[in-house]
Amino acid sequence: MPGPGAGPGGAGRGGRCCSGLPGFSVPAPAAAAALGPPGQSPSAMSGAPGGRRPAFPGLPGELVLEEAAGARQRCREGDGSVPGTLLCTNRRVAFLPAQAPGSHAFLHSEYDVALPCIRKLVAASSFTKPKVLTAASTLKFIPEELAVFCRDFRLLRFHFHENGLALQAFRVANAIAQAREAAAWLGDAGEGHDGWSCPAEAPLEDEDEEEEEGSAATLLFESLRDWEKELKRLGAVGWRVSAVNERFDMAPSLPQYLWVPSGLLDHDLKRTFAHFEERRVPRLCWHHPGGGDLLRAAGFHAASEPGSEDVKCLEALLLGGRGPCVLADTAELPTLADIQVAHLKLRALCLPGAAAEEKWLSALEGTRWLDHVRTCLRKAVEVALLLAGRRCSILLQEPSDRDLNCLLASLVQLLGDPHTRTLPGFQSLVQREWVAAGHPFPHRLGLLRCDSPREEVRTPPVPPLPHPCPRWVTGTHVLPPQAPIFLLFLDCTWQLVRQFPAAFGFTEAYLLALHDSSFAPYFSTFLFSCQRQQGQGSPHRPCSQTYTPVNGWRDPQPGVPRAGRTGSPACRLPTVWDWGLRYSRHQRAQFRNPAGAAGTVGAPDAADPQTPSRPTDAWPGPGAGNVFVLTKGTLSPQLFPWRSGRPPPRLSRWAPSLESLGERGGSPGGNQPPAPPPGLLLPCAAGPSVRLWQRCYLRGLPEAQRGRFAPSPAGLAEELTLLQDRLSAWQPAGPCTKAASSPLTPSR
Amino acid sequence: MIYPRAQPPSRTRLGAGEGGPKKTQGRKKKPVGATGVGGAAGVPYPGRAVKVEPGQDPAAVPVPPPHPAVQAAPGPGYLKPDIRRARSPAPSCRPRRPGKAVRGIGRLQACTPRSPACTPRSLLAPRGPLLAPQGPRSHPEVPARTLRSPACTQRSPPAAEPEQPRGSRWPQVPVPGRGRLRRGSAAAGTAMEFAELIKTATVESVLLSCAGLPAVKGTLCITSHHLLLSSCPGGDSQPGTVELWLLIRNVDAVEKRVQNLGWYQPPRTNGSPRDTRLAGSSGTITLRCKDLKVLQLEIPGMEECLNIASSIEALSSVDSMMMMYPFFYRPQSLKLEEGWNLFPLERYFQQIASQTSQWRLSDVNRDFTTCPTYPPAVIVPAAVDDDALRKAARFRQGGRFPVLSYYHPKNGTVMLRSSQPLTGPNRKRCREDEMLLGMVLDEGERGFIIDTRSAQAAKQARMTGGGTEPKSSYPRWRRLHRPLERGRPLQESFIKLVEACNDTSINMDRWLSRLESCRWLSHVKAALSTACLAAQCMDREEASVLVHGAEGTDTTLLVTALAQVILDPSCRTLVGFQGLLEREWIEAGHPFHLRCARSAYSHARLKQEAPLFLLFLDCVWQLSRQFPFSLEFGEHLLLTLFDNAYASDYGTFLCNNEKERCLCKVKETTHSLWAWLNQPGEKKKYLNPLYSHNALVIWPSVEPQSIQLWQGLFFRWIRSSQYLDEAWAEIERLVEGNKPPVKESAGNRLSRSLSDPAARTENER
Repeated sequence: MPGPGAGPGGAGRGGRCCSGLPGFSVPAPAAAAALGPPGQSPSAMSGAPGGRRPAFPGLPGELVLEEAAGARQRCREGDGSVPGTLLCTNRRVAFLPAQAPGSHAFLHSEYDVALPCIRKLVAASSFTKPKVLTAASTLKFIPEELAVFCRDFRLLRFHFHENGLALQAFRVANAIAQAREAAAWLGDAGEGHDGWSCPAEAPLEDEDEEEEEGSAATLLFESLRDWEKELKRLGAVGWRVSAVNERFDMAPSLPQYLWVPSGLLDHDLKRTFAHFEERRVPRLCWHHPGGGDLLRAAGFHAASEPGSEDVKCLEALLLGGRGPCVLADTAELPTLADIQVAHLKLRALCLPGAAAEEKWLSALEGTRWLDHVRTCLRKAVEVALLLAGRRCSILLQEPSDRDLNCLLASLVQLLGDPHTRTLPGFQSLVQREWVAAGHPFPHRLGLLRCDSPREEVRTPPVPPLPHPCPRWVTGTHVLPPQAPIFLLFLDCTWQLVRQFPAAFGFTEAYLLALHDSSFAPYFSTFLFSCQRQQGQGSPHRPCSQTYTPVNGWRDPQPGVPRAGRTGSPACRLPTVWDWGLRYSRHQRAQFRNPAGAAGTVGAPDAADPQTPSRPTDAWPGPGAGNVFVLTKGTLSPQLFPWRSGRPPPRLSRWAPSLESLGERGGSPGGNQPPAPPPGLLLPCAAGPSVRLWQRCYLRGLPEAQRGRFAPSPAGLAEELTLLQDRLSAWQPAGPCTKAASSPLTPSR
Repeated sequence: MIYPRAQPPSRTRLGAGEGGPKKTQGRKKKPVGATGVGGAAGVPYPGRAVKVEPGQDPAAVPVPPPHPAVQAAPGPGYLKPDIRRARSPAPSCRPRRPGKAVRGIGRLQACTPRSPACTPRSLLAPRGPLLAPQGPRSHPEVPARTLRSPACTQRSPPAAEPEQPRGSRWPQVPVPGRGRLRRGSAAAGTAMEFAELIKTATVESVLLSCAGLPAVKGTLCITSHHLLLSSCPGGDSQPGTVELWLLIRNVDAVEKRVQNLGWYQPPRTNGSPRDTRLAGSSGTITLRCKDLKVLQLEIPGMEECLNIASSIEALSSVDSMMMMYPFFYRPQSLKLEEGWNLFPLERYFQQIASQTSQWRLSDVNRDFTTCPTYPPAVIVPAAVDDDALRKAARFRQGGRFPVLSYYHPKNGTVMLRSSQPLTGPNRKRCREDEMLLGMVLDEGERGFIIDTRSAQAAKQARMTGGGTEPKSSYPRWRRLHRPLERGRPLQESFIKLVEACNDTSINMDRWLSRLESCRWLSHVKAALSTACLAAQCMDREEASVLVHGAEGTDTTLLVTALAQVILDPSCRTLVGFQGLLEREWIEAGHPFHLRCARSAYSHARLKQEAPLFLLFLDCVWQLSRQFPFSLEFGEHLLLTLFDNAYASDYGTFLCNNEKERCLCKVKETTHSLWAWLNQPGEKKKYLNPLYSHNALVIWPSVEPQSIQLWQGLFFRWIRSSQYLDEAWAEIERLVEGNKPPVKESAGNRLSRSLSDPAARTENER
């Protein structure tokens, strides 16, 4: 995170321990106190030459373990390479490009990788065959090239081609292997998250006053104000913000504030918690301007038998006189294990030499990753259509309400709400539907598991695939399964961006940055499983795993006073939305889609979409009070579990004619599909329309990279502005700067 | 869907002269009993439907010698009044026993106007003499005229009516991709009884539906070259808008489906004319076009439906060169001679001559005797005289001796192309050929021969008189074999791919493996890699290259043309690319007429069709996707070229080689596509807004991950690209708006060459 002011003057300062970069302005004692335990200090401390390198703007408490000046990093494509210094710290592997030290513009985020994010480390030399490095198996030869395979699909390749580098190369390679072992992600009980923290008071507000609108406008949903503001934006009449969970005593994994019907008092609301898994009650996600409501909740608790009072409250919450309620469960979506398996297969496929050339496509299909993407898109389209076409409330219901519900709820809003297609809107969406809603990021992304980085190098390798739900027992509790739901969501979003390039205010580059940042341990956003945990600041204590509603709605840990702590510890870590921390201004400029006119395809949502779309569509049964279930695109009547008896048979199944809209085009003789309501995106989920996110997943295949620069018009527009920036930067500079040795050199 | 394609491929020699009007298409015999009930074609049809196989239309039988007295070329001008007045002929009688269903297909065919007797309307419908040999009443003419000028209708074949320029331009025809038309003079003295082929000229209340567009109802009209559908929204007084303007040549396959609800086909014993039409009967014609569009026409009246279908079939399979529409097309804005001499080889030679004197322009082929498929002028080593060329030509198949295809200015290496040497089983040699190739290389230099067949195939070719250059006779040339598919496997791959793309209903979950099994992308990859190899030999190894396969008119041209796009920045401009096509495809003798006779939908037996040109366009598209800034033209140009190669208003892609074009006077009597493309208003559509000159070689990635399906082509008519188009328009707007003040106009972009970082980030290899 080199600040713009970090000049070469700081070279070699202090030898090993980096002082914080100017922007960070950490009080040194504080940093030292907050930081690394003494045991962390490297044994290999002596030795490495001070070297002449640009100041390494380390994180507070970051220690440089080893470095090799004069290494070269291969560029992403082609044969070019950038000279610089390879550093191994106790946090990450970093590379400092040698030339133009002042222009930090260049891709800090591209040059380093957090240690836990390293998936595999391979050393190669022309004399021996490549060797996978681990802490246990040390290097026996002088490496000429070091390839770092990252869990975020990146591949960094460093090579040491100059003479005299032998020792350094050797040491740095070994140091990385050791450090990676030592750096358990968050699992070190003694360290906590503080070691990773960046002080929040000075979040590197460099030169970008005008640009920071993105993070400023992002609602974090940590305060009541944010919830109220957003509710107001949605214009959801009949809903209010309830602070019933303010102390996380009603439902530990839910956010502090919930959107609930205005007509329901908190007192009554409390009755409902016990009847849902993990006490995650139904609450509003999004209000369609046409009157429909999108709700989400966990599954009905199996053992609960609500009494008549409770039933009244439940039905007031679910129906509330707002029209029929449609239950949309996630049964058609892939399971967590499916997603994890697909992701692992995909990652394996995207390694060099993984698939025979002729079999690439069928191998890709075999991963089923695209299939999962397609399924999610299709389901989201169904829900969005239903919501746009009728006045009803749709309850997304997943047993846990913490995984696929997050994905579905946000996808539906992306389809239906143009605001969420702007950059701040999207960030708010992620913040609300994922972070605040309690998606267990650390578990799902595998950030907690100490041994997960080594999953490939175990001998004999435990086949990770066949286990439908791999569980590792560490200590006393069972770790929940790992599944990159969030990455699946990003992929789905990318498909939308690709299909509707002009509808989004952000670009593929932004999604890519978010993708990579979800593995970077510097931000609070993805470190916690729920808001409560974030408030406590203890990421590895699962707070809700074993919760049962035995105690009714009482807080299982009533004794913990938390009132004074809410908010304060969390803000010690910056959120991921502070893009300035990792991405240069230049890169951030690429996040915005110049061709996406601030996310307005069609008319803005303010117009009531109910009137133009299908006003005549009638419900199969009489208006309010009906409950339906949405399966495979059709609605069928259903009863709440506490109602006995069979659903009224007179309500025959009703298909909302999704096929014609979802799969636009259709057979040549097919009729013209009705035009989608304004503001609603209806992506095509047919096979040829769902593509591989090459720019993300194929980063490890340098040979295949050339073609990835123009996958979409949005990408092109992005490149275009980049080039025009460069061009205008060149004009005053004149052609003398042409001598820059690498084409990747920034033009300034 | 039944494809009568079961026969083995005809082993006709490629490259044989195909100039003369061909006789009938190779029609298959009708599959008796192949009832298409229910229509395997996909859409379930309500009620019982009978599908009639196309291709049994007897009207396609021998094209009569051109009738001197008949004009053809109905322009659009006559149409407007006709549509209003034209009525479909009333049925003269009713079927006797309605309500019975037709059993099989044979019955249906019986009612196609195989014999005139079976059509009840011989009095009303204009009929050609061939079909109604008894016909004193028949008159071979365009039916539209029949209706327009009754004076010349009945009884007698109309005298060669001079073209009346009906005065009116067609009012603001909303036809995509076509300018305003004017009916020009059908100056070509040739004419033919198109009218004989048109059994029903106009039908009203035809419902046209096309994927992604709302269905429209209107009056359908068949002219000699076009199918028009015009809707009259405001009643009689208002001019209708033309909803469809389809070149009939563009029709690849016609599928008829007659709904037999409510009509009855009486048993026909003596062929007595009977009306089989009932009020409720109707039929559906599915037109599958060569540009992969699929249209459906719902036609009231079974007989009309069948007539229309057979008329379209007959007209679309007219194979006589002089009957092609380009000979009749006379747009107002263009002059005939325009565009034909834009890219003379002489000019290309002058560029070379300014750098080296080792090459000369030879007119050894000026009367096409040395090589019938070469243009009159070719570039050959200066040291080889014409006699030696003639002898070398005898040693190469089809006389295609090695000629220069590309001169690489960077290091002076060259790319040659030829056909295979006629080594034969006896390992014949030819001194002149060896000398010719020897002259190409300087002292001590070595060259590469890239053979686009596998080593084994090349060896096998010796049995049939061909072969390859033996090491002993050509010691300084090293042979590399890079097998490229062509001919039938390529066409089948194309057909399979289009089938898969149109299969929207099922199997989408297996899309990727299906795509893989089509192997089209492998062909693209192979073509690109081979072109890269050739380019690499020249640019990296600094060695000259000779490319040939067997005939030297297919994969050879694919490789040489593609290599030039990769190597030569001037080929990546709009004009340069046209020049490349002219030089490396059209003049070089790619048999367009044979290769592009049918597209992916055709049910006809495969003859010599092969989508090599499409493969080339696809490869260029891959390049344009991988190097979005380096090509001056965009996808739109490639699509237009594809369309025009298969069916065109212009003469550019007519015929198989220059010799035939001379014989047919293509350059004198048709318009050039280039003239049309280069009109300022038109040209703008084809430019890539992101283009900036890149002087470097663009090395594409040929990894399977990098090769993408060209959705813009294969899904053009299937999925709306509305959102992508909008984004492109936005990009264009951005480019226009953001143009830095220093930036020059599009005209002299060349000067920016190296200072542009775009060029550099794209190539740092």
